[in-house]
Amino acid sequence: MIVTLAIWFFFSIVIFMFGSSVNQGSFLGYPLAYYMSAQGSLAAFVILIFWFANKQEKIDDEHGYGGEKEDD
Amino acid sequence: MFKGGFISNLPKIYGLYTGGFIVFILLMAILESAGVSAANIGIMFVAFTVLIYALIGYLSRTVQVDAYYVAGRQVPTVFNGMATAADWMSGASFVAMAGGIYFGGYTYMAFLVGWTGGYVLVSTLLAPYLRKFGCYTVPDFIGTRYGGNLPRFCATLVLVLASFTYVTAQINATGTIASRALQIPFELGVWVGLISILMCSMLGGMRAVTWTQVAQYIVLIIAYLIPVFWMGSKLGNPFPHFMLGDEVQRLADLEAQYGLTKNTGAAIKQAGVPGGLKYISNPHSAVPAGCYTILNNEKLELKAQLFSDDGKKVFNVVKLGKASDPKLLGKLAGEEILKKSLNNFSKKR
Repeated sequence: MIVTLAIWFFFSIVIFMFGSSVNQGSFLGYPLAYYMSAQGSLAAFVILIFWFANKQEKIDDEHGYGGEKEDD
Repeated sequence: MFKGGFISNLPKIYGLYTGGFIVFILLMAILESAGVSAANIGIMFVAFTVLIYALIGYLSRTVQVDAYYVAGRQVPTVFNGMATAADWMSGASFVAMAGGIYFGGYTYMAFLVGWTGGYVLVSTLLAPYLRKFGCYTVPDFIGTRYGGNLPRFCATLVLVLASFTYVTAQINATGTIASRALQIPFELGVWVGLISILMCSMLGGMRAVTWTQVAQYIVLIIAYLIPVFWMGSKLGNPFPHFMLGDEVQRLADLEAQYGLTKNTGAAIKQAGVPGGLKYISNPHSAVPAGCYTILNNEKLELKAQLFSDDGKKVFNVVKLGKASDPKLLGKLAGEEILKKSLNNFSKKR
């Protein structure tokens, strides 16, 4: 959970705090900070949610909160 | 055709629905080339979608608590994801994004990051605990966790206040769309939108909302992507997401040329945002944020930079004074800036 929050903090705040210097770099020709706010951070968040949900599902199963599984 | 339960037939049902939607679009296209007016086609579009959503709402009507709040805990993951995605692509996302970037410049894209990042926070900080406690709503969870009705009431209050802000934007968008598509006054459009939402959600609760949102997701994805790919391939490249990097620079140049640049890097820097969290907690309200640095306990260095239209730095104002009277200092610096900029302006003429 801490890791998730740290990654969230990095992609949502840290990058844009230094936005103008990050913008010096570029990705696919976009200014980097522009790219991050338009696609990059969002992609990172989506991957993060997938990863976290999987992990949490395993923890829940282990402790019996996972709910019944469909057997099909 | 549909053997077995509703859930096991979901892909088939929604596949059929998607096909129906595409047929509907084609029908509209034929009608348009046959000379039906754009207004009538708009009305048909809205009527069709609202009808479908209302139908879904009616079909999944329920009186069971479990079904009402958590869709009976039987929504397959992929469909749940589709419903959540439809939530993301809401009125606030596409109407407000366009308007926000138009009026506020690219800084408005912060909305994207905040909105998407919020999903991370919800999934990390709330979702696992809601599940563990077997609760339906956030106030429910807070009430169970901390005990008693007071925390529960506070949570409800916070939720209502937060939702209110969001729903205002959402209803605004709904009303605008309804009034545009149906050619009715905005106020009436709001009511039409609200009634259709009510039809979808009142009878079936979360179950109806989830299934409606899956239907919405299909419509939205088609409506979002087809124009992008279409326009992209007209311009010679069907994937504009990856190929238009240079255009950003060109657009920025054009904007600068026509004086449309908003919140430039220079302007933001002057306001002290990047690398300057200390300015955000600026106690001296008379001094513009980002304009001063405290040298030591005694002295305050005031710095102001002016930028001309093309982003070139024109001059610096530096003043030293006692930190004990920042208000006076701010006033002096402000006057100096004003004087210099007026001089600069008259020199230009």
